[in-house]
Amino acid sequence: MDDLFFNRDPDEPDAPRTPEAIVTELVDNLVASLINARIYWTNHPRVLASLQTVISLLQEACVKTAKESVAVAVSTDFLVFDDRPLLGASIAAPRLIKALDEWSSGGLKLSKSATVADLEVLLEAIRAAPAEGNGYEQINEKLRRGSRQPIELLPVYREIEDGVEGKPPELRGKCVVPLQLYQSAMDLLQGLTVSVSTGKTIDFAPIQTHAELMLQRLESNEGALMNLARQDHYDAFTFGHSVRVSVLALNFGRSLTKDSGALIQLGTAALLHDVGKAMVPFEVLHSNKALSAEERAEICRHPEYGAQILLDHEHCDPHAISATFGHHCAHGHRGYPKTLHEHRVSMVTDIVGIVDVFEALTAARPYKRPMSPVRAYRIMMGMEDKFDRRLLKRFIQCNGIHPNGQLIQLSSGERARVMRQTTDIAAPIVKVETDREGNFLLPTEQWDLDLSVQSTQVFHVTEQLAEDPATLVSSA
Amino acid sequence: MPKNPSVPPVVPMPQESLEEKLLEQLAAFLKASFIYPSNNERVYKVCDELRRVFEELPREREFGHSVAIEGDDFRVSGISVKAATPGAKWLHDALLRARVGGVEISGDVTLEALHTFAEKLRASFARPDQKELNLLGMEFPGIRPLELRFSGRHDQAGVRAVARTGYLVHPRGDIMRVLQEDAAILSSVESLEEMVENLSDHSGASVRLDLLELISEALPVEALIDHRAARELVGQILERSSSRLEQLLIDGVNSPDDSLELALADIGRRFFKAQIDDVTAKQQQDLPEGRPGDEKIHEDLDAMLAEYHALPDGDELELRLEDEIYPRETAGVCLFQIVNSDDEDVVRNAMQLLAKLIAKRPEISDLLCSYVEMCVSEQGLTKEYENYWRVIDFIQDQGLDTLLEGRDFLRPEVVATTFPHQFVPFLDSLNSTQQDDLDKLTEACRVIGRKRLRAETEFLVHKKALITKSRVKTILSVNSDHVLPLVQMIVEHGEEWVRGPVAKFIFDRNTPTKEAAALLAVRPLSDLDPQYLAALCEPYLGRKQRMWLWDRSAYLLRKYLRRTADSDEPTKRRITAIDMLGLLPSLENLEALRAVAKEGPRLMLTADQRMLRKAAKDAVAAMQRRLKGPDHG
Repeated sequence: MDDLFFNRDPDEPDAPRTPEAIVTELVDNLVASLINARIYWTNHPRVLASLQTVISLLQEACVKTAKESVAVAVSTDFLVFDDRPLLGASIAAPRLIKALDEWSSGGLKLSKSATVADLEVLLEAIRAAPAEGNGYEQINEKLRRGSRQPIELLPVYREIEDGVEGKPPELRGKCVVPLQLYQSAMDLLQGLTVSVSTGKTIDFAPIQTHAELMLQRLESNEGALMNLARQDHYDAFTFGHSVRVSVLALNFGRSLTKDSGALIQLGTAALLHDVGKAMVPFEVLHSNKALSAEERAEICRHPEYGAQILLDHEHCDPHAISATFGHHCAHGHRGYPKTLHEHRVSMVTDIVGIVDVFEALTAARPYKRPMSPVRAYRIMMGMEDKFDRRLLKRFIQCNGIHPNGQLIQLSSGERARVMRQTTDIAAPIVKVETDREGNFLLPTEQWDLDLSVQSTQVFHVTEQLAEDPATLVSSA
Repeated sequence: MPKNPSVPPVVPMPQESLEEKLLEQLAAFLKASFIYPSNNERVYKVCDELRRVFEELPREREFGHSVAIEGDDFRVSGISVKAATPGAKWLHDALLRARVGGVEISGDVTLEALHTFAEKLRASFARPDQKELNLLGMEFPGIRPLELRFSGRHDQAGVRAVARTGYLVHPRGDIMRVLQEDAAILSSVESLEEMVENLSDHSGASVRLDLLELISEALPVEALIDHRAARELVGQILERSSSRLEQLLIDGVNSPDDSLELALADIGRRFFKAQIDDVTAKQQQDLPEGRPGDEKIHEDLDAMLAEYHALPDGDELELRLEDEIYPRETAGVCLFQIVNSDDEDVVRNAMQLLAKLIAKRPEISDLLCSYVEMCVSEQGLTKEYENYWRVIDFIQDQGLDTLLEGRDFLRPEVVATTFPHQFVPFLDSLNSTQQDDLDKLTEACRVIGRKRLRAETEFLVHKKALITKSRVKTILSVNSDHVLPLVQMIVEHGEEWVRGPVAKFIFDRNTPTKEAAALLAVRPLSDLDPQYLAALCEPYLGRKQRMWLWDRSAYLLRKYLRRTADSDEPTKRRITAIDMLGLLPSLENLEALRAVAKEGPRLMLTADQRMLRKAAKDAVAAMQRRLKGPDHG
């Protein structure tokens, strides 16, 4: 059986955890608690386990920052920590942001002394809609412990007492990123998990709508959507993965057909492909420890569960059912689920399978750095019989070594952004955004460069650059 | 009536199997009610079977019987029952989905009330949090839904948290005192869990958690802040209190304090598995199947480009939804679910989708044959093997019987030696209008032998594999005693509709046998055509060969006839029953006939009423001639 473990690269040293990373993970766990609280009662073990992790991370963050508390503010769909937008956390927490907004609150402050019980009260309180005239002060009242306020909802940002009549931190957006599209997709998938877990019927219409919106976005500004998919500290749980798989699948699909109907079905299938994970025990899916053989076998059943969930709905698209079932099947009767017959997969399933693996390899996680596309491709090409080899080649060709939207450093000194792939997968068409000294050019001054027709001695890519998420943020 | 000493006493079934049966029958009834209206034959049948089990089970209390979720299993009328069968597991899931902890059902509950409850249960799946579909707030005559409460289990799969409905036998009050007296010293998590394990061997996993919950409640609030210390504290308490707690468990004192239970559960959970792990999280949910040695594949652009160029070109590839592989792929998924899923909706939808695919692409049907071949080549009777019958039924329903023709595994001698595995597809391959085929069946049954047929047919019949219209028709087309054991089993375990064809079979053979007795003994007789009814009674009446029929069947026959005679059944049926009663001399029957003879108004009788009265009077006269003296019967 294929080993499900992907160990940390021994050559890569552990990255020190920044306060931002810790707070992002804290928000992720708070969001997980919110989702679980929609399925179970607030004092259910799973909810409590997530909240316990929040407390642990809170204490870690306080130690790291040498402060007594952690405050996360909300500013126009973003979560802000220490005056810096938390892109990943913002994408994963639309519901938390919305809840704070409904209570007219500008953020959340957690003191080092906060307990799980305090967080339980917070969860219960913010899940309810406020009565007319009530605001966040009402929740603060419930959270007060004598003279202490271990958890506090903050006033709106502009009222923060920093001496400045406020506006949110200046956002130096250079690239419009479709934050709201990602947020709503995440919210959709979180809601899907709740529906599956509680036995409710799945409404496929919004899922298809999101696939359509993603396709439209790709067609109008491919780089922005793809770029967001590569951001660091981005969602420790499974929802973001499905959104990114869908984006990658749509982007790849566009190179294989112009039929928008087919593409929307592909995107829908990709969004749904891991729906079966809602039936895998939470503790297994997000375990901190090595999995036992039984636990790994349980995870391997998620495609089977997913197909069952979808087949429980009479009018589910068969392509989604097949892709959900077969995205881990390998050619040559390998992979899982194990079937008695040799289960051949169609192109839709194959596409989902390819991008699923690529996303898992190249995405950032709290415990590993993102892998470069070059290394990911090498690993994927080494997986004999796993994929249709011709399709894999087309995928590499479509995605390139420097994916669309990626910021790169040119050998000549400028910084550029990848716009389109060419027949030379190492030499895309780029838009030069800075001069050789690193000064940003005005939009009218920026120029396109086709690296495939240039002499590599003059212009070639020397480095892919990691971008400060704060430079990307601008609601759109 | 006096017992016949020659008849062996009826041995009651073991208690456990009755409780399991209740779960199965309740599940079967609910499933049938989800699909069919309340006046459907299938619903009647399963309701009858459910009532039969009710009657056989000893009553837990005056109200009736109860079925309650207890963790992953059940408590049925006070007895723990594992949810080991597919029906029980389905029932467990269904109750959880409806947020119901179980049901109490009275002995006199009506079919309509049960069916209404089933409909509401189904409706509550869709919107469990809507008030009007909260089953606990509804009233059903003779049925009381029980509250579901989550007390939490960290090792439960999916959403199936432990739920208790008040059946826990557990001395909370006493344990609380013990714990409060024995406050704290340190221990490790491992020894804590080990101690809990040791303590609760005889009480089950849910009590283990309860103990921890209780202990945790005893801790001061401040201890909750530092959960490491609190965990250690809990361990010490257990260590010092173990013998006293064990005694309390053995004593098994009920405590009605629900609020205490909830509070204990609330705090206890925080410590059961609350562990800070200093190791950075490893998440496996979206990892690829990395091969050992992948870590040695480094970032090497030149190597990557070389490997890339070595891949075959795919320039001609185009994404088309309706490609050649897609129908077969989807058919494979459907077949997998048909064989592996326990969810009726999933199986039904998969079959519908599969039927559509086969209609579009008939060549896919060879996939079904490969499943059938795999089915019959299996030697073990696994769960999946049993579910393969669904594929065979599907083949039948779709009119694809020709798929099974000419297969090597369908020769009689092979069928006989591998009985029962290949028997069903063998039956499906036969044409009941062809004598050659019927001869093959006769030969197979002869080789199998009467004894083996009966023993292993139990399995086929129990799994309802034999009870389809075409298979029953094939069996009944054989004019040989070799199939009689099959016929008897079919009658005893089959559905209502088999009785008519079997009755005709017995009638045509003109040979009264024990199969006829079985027919009479186990079912209400209202569905039988009067001519068959009369024919079945004839051996008993005419030949006086009472040894052919058990006393029970004779008793039931007389009871049925009396009931029918004095009922609102159609006149023709009533008259048949009256005629039969006239041939069965007994005081009871005489009284019944006399009552019918006086039925209706004194004047202005309808034609039917006149016919009934005349028949009854004639029957009384016939009986009196037979009696020639005092009653006997």
